[in-house]
Amino acid sequence: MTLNGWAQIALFFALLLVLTRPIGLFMTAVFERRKTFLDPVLLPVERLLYRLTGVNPDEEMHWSLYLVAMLIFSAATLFLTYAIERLQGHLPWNPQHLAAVAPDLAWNTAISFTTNTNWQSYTPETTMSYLTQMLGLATHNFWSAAVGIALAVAFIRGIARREMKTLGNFWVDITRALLWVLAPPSLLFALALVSQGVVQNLKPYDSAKLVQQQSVTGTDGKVSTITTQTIAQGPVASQEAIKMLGTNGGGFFNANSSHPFENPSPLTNLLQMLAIFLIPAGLTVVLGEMTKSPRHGWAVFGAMSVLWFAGVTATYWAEAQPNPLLHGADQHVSATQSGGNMEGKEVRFGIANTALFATITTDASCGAVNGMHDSFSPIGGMMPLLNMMLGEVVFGGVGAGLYGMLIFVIMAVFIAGLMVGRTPEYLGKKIEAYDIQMSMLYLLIFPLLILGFTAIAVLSPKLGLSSLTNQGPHGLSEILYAYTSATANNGSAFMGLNANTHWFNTTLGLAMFCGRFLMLIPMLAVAGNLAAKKSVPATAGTFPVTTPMFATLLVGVILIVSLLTFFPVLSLGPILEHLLMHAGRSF
Amino acid sequence: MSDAIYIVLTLILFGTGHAYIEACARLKGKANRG
Repeated sequence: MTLNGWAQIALFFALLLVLTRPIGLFMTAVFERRKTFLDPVLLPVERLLYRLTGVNPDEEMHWSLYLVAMLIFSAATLFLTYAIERLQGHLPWNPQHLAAVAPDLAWNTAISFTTNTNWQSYTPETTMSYLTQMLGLATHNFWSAAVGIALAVAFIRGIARREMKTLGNFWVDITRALLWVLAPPSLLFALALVSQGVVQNLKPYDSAKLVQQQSVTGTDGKVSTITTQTIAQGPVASQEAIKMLGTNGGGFFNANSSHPFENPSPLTNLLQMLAIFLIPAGLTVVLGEMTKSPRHGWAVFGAMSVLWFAGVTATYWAEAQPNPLLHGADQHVSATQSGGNMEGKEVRFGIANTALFATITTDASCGAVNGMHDSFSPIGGMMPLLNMMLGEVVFGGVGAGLYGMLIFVIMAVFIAGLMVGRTPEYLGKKIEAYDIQMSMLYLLIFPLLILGFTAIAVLSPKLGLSSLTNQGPHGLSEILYAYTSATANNGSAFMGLNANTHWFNTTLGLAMFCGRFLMLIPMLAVAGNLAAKKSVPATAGTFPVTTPMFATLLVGVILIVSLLTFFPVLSLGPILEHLLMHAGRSF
Repeated sequence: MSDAIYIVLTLILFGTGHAYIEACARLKGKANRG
């Protein structure tokens, strides 16, 4: 680890800290329908949309109706993307004449983008036409992110409201999230990326003559000489901006944010990392403002920051260590090399920025990568996996991170109540049996999906193990990572696993669907129940949710729940691999 | 044929989601009575 590396990590956090409050106050104004500087442009558009769709913006929804509207919207957009993928061979903006996407892959991708996961079992530049990338995938980046924000705001209303049966209007919340929160910064960010060299065009791929010809032996044993290279391009910047701001993560290219056309420089890398955390961090301020307890919002922000810092420290440390299997090689930091483990990392980013990016993208359910997590050291690779196993609550996905964290807040308050022997309260609301039942349902579905699907896959040589390129504990980590990433709606891949099979496309699709919708339904049920409750005045015995002690308890609950659940499987995967690496074995 | 399988599977999944909402709402009634 170097001072330079830590300075860059500190710069990132300082910028995040400066931006969190203004972004949060802006979003609060948007969802409380107060005046903002964008109203002169966006209010007429909003009114026109309501008129065209017949939405009454003043009509409030019960939590169950809010969820039904969300399901209808998600189903409609999922079928649209599926249809575009299947018909892309007959549709315009397909200069490479790419054929229709296979049904299982099209379904997996449609689920993936609908659930804000953006898991990609395919190589985008050889599979998806420009129209599919723009109309099927990039639009979904906006829609799925807006759904997450709307649900988080509905949850906050549930906490803030007293004796009410409604949580707002889904159509209004999603429209305002799209028009005010996501579209304007995406436009500006895309232009900034273009200015730094990110590609934005609709041209067919170019072909470049290689300076040095290469001989390649095919699987059939035939040797062929490669003389040209295809330069893939397209409308990248417009997709890249919302990919980060919406914590979507699906790359325009297979190499994602390690591709120079997606992420050309350390500056774009810093901007992309900031864009991932910006809205999730701002939503903690929305929580504080809408519940009239700004210090509670900052306490949640503090708990998230502690977990983020622990994650980046562990990952950076692990990746800065020399590989013990490379006997005799100079792996120390010097003026001419980064030292440590540079395999799978871009030289222009180095170890610190790759470790930071990996932590941010797996904390925030983004899933974009600027290095290959499969090439990390066993402990370095375990950290992104562990970040996801925390439930994507460390800032988390846009909206999804906050409502996931609030479920842990309820659990923390409940445990604090048990410890002092009184009915737990959260911001003036008594936490009762139904709230805990629904919170437990939320928390139990997550490991059930991850561990269940992983167990089935590793027990089946034909379905699961045949897709592996690495054996032993590393192979287990590859399958475990895939199901964790899918269930947590992260979308990053560990690599080394051929997931484009009927089995993986279908089961990962199921994991993504259940990891999104079956978790947010009990979550909003809690919100609906809280909204209907009376407010009880705080007394001397009320556990305060604005203090460092509360943040510490929250961090403790998250770590205990996650580590108790996943330690056994982690010990069979990355931890065992780490021990065997020091014994001289690799996989 | 595969298209039909995945379309039906999707409809079943969203139908399950709707039934799940109903089940959570019913559980609320039971919990409140208890």
